[in-house]
Amino acid sequence: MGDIVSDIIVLKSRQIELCQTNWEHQKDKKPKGGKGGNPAGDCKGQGQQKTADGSKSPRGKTEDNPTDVTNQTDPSKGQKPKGPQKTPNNGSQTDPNKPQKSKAELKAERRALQEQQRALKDQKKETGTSGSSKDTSSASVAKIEPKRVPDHLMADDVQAQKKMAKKLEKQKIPQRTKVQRQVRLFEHLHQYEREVSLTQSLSFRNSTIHPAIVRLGVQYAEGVICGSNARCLAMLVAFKQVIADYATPAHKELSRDLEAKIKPYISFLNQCRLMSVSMGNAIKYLKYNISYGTRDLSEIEVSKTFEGIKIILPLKPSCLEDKKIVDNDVIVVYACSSLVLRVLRTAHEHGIQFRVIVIDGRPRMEGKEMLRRLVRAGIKCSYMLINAVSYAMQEATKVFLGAHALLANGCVMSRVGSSQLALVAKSFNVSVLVCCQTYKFCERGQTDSFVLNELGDPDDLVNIGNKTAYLSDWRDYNSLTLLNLVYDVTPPEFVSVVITELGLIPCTSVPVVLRMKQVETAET
Amino acid sequence: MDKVQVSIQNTIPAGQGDISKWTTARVISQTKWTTARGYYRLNGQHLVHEILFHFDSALKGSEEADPQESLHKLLSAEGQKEDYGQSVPNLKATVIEAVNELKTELENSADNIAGQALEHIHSNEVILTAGKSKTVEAFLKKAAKKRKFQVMVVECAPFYHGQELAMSLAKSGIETTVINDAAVFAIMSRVNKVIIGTHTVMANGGLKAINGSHAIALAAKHYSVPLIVCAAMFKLSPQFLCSYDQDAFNKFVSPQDVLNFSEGEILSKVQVHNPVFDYVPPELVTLFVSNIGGNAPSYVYRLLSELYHPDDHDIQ
Amino acid sequence: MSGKGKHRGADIKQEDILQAVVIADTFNVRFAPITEKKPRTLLPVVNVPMLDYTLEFLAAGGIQEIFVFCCHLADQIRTHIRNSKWNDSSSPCTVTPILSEGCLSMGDAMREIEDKSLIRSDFILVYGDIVSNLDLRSIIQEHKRRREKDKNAVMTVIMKKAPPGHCSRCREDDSLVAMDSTNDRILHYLKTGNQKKLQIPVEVLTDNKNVQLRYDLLDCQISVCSPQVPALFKDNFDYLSRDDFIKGILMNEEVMGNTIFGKIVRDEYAARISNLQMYDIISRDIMSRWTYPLVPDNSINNHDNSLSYGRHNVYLSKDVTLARGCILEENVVVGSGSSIGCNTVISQSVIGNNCKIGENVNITGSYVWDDITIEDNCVIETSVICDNVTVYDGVTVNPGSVISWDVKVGPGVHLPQSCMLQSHPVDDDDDFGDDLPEADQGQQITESSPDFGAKSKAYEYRAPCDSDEEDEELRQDIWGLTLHSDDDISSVDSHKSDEFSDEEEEMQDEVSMFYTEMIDQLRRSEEENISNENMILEINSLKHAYNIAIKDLHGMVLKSLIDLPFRQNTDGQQLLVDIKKNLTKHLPLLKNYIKPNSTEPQMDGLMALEEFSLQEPRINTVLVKILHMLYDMDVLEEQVLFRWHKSIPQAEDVPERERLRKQVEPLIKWLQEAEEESSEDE
Repeated sequence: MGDIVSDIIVLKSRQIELCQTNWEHQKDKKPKGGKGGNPAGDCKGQGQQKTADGSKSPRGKTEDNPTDVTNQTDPSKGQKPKGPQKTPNNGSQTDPNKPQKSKAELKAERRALQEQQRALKDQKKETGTSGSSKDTSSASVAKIEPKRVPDHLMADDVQAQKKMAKKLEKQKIPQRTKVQRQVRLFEHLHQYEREVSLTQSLSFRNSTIHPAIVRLGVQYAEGVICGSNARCLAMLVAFKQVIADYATPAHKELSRDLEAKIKPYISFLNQCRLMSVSMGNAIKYLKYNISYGTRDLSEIEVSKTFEGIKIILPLKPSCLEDKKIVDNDVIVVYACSSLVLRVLRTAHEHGIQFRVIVIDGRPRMEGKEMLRRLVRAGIKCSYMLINAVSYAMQEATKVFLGAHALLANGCVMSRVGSSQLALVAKSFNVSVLVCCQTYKFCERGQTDSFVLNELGDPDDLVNIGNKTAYLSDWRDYNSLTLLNLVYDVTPPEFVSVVITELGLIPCTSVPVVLRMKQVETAET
Repeated sequence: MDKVQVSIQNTIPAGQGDISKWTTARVISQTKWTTARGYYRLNGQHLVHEILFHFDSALKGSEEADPQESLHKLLSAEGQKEDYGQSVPNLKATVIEAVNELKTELENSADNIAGQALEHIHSNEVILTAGKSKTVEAFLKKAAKKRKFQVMVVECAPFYHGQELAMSLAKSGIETTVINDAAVFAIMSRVNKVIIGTHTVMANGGLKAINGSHAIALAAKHYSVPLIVCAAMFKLSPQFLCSYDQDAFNKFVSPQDVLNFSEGEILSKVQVHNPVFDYVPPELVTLFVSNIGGNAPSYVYRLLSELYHPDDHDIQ
Repeated sequence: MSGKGKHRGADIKQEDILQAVVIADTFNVRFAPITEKKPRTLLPVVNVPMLDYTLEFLAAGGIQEIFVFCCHLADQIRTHIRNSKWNDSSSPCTVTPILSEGCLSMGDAMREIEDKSLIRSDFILVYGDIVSNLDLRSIIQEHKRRREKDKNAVMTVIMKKAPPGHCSRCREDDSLVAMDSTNDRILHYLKTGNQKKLQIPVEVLTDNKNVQLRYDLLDCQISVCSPQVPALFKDNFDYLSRDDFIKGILMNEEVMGNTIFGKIVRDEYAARISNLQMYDIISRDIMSRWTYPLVPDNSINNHDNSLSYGRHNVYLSKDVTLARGCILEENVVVGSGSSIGCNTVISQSVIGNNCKIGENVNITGSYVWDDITIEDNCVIETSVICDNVTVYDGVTVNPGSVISWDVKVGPGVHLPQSCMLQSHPVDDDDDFGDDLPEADQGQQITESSPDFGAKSKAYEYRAPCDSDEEDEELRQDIWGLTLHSDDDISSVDSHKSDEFSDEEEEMQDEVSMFYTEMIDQLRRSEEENISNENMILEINSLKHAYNIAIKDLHGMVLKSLIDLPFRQNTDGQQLLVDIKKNLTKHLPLLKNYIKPNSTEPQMDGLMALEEFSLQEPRINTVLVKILHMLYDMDVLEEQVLFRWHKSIPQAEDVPERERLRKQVEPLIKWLQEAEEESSEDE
């Protein structure tokens, strides 16, 4: 009996709670008089209506019974209910109409009631939050799995954009205006209008962003620093300065605070220009070192270890390449890659006689820079645009490409046009060698150039030198869009070999190397 | 005729049709001879072939009315030496008539090809095109009247005809996107068809098309996207390509557009090339759409015999 | 294209046929000794005569009437034109040669044209060595439109944008232009020449808004002129060249109201073959197809030997014989009928018609014209070899050489750098005077054959030095010298002595002006018999005006006194007498500045004398006497003389100064022995 009583008390208290909350929420108040069950029933009814979910209504129907049950049982036990207002009504209420049920039935009913209460409790939680119940449920679901799709790939998802906007506001970072018209295929990618000044809204005093980072961001946005190696290096230098200027505030732990400080910087850099894979890897490494490596260290030691980090990231490729370049070679290169430049210069210094054909693509025309540097090094060069690549490939013996990243499925992500070059090379049976350091290896897998890419400024396509621009008023025509891709993905069957500092590996061995690296970082 | 020569030499390839029309106009207006001995040296060589063919057909008009159709006849025909010094009355009239026919054919070919557009384009397609070809422009615009589709235009540096085409298509309300030449492979996976025009169709079915077409054709082959070439019959040429470095296959214009002359001292140390044409081998082409219908590239050689006399295949 | 027909029709209606005047002679001898036999405009550039490029360019611009003005070797030009396609009935323009033997400059040519009243409307004025693919029509339209509004827009000068240090910039034609950027009017025009500092009148900047000073323009020497231009030339007899014309117009702008406009061309190619260096550069540009459609495989000449274009800009004629193992690297043109032997390497060169090149020959950057035989194992770098030359085995021709017609060189000779050979000895009577070999040249003008090989028939040619006229300021582009790489401003090795002396440049302007003034003063004092006191006053005032240091003053006074008689006559004996007379006359003047018992002024005076004698070698002979005279007049003292003599010369030309001191040694000895005989021998 006692436990039944306690059960009932528990149940009652739950009811009370539920009614209280419903009382707060309900707009039309029902009179307290009348059947005790009614307010409770009304409350419950309101509760049901509140949730307004079809799935909950069956529960609602069964809920009527327990009230009756309690009403019935209470007077039978003659118990005095505790506390709050409405319960005495329950005690006095007797429903002589309903017959007395057997114990088993009661038990079953009680169990059912418990289930419902539990469900109600969940409902309560859901009714407590306004409107976005689905989100919380999915949020709770989402908390369990890691976030697979990064924010910058969800430009078409309004929710994700709102969240990002909020986050940026919190971090006090200016947000760029999105472009009005985008190519349909690429609506999931961000594309921003070119603005006069990114840093207009940053004030000097309240800024949470270190000036070195601000400068870096502007340099990225304007294209002053470009090329994955250069960007990564510049970023590391800037972070080095950040850490050097960093002083741990009182009562805070170094690693957590530093990490928290770096987060807004990363968002800011992301806003200026999308992070490259190399930068992403470097940041991961940095964060890892901050959180695990700097537990007990002071700031000075942190910066020292950080310098060590910088050196660890190797930037010299394998030296086997000079066996790959022989006399009388005709080498085709595309756009500007610092690594390929270094390889060619080293080969030239070793006295190997070869010629280079530099292929260039609009609108960035980075090949001109490559051409200048090669000529300065004294190498014989020719220069062509990418549409003449079939003409060039007829006399070519090798193709050297630089890479932005190497993906886990063996694809090479590089400047747009490299895949075309590799394709034509394959058809002329010319071997393609990709030069890439291992820190640019990425666990992602990608099959085409659409899913993850960067969209450049479409107005770059308009300017065609001294000729009259045909597309100068392209915005006036709704059906016209300009597409300026920055990267593209070369399938592994076009690439003969990848040259890294570990040696020559085929494209498909990327996951092996990544695994090795993970093991290394786990050990350290 | 030197004025003609000079001005043809000086124009960068714009509108093959324009040049052909204009030269025929001149030819008609300036014929002055009755014997077949003079012939003009024009740069549009296949046009000359056509005119020559009409000479010969007019000359032989009385004897053999039908051009040689069967392959066997072609093989067994001996070199017929005609006496070109013979004065044939009405030669001029006949030739002028034939040339007039040629002229009408030139003018109507674009419309003819455009009429077949709906057979090849279905709705909600993504079509890739390159450069500016009047034929392709007419083709796409005709299809756009009835069907809705998207067009991606490759801008084709350094002449940028693609941008002109894109503007023109956008003005007629077709959904157009301009991409640069480097992005062709990246985009190709989403393209349903590639439709290009060409400067010449070689005798083996290969193309002498605008620069960059070879890369486009290779990408299309990789993704199994059909390559459709819209070319009128007068673009057929009886020449074969033996090697890519063949004399007079490609035309190289001033490298000014590739690397500006005012770039300075680097110019003396660097070779800059600016080829105008590209060779596309016939196995990369899926279909030729011409004014007499659609053909496979393997059939082109037969069409040649209807147009040109075998003796005239080599003009020098 | 049909627009052209309409245009022509409209032209005929207005009787405005487009005309052009081609001056087929440049009135200088940059291409000597080649131009002794063939006129410059018929010299082949990539196997096509220069004149053809110009005519082709004009014809493409729609010009209908072309006058070719020939002076030197005019008959050849006339025959060439007569035999060319321009004389056919189907030619789009009529080419008329005008012969005139007596013309010495472009100005003269224009005056003759005015006399003949050939010009009826706007015309193009070019030299006969222009290579260009400009579109003239649009520029002419612009010019005409401008003229409709303003009758006094006399000329439009076409300039090409080429930054300084650009490879196709000719240093002789370097110019600075001040332009009004709103309407492209030229406000000031300067040839920079060798000057490091340039002067622009302030009015140019103050009177106009939007002035742009442009140094990045290359003057193509193509101008669109109005019909008044020949008349203007006629009115001003001292206009010799187009630059004079431009300067004159600009100077007289307020008076006459004529204006000159400029047109800047960015994308097209235009250049003038003004000297050997430009010849080299432009040939290479033609081979690299910058001048499309004027390229070798486009059969400009309408001959049957059109060239075929291969990879790396290798143009081969149809009937060329190439042996196995011969390598044509890049930028090579081989004319018809030529044959090249085994293992020969040719790059960046033009080989003409009917040449026979042997085995193991290395030809780089050279221009080999027609009918030439080059035998085995030769090395030819950066040179020009004219028709009918035979180069025997094993000859090395070093950069910058020019081997003229009919020369035979070799075997086994190494020609020096920048050597110019011709097939007959140089005549003694050149046009440019100076028959006495100058003492410091120290070399003979003609060299005999044996120096050039056993079978040779070659004489070295020395370019006559341009005497001191305005041409002094022109730099001569010296061909064949290597440029420093990687400099934006390419500097040329100036180890070859330029004709104008550097020292004069280094001397401050003011000092030299002061000096000249002083000389004038002295001269006037002779004529007008000014007293010495007045002279002193004048000199002092001049000194203050020009801000001359006292040191210099002393020296200059002494120098001027000696200089004056020296300038007046050159005779040795008379000279001395004059000097003495002068010195005595102006002794008080001298003593005023070089006071006795003051060592410093005397030293200054001596130093000045030393400098002077270095400059004027003839003083050497009389230096001793002068010093003696000065000593006698108590201007110079022994101590000073001794000190000067002992002093180790530290300035330049040390050996010269040593020699001076040696010369003076007898005097010093005599002084030291302190004999008081006045030795007046002569």
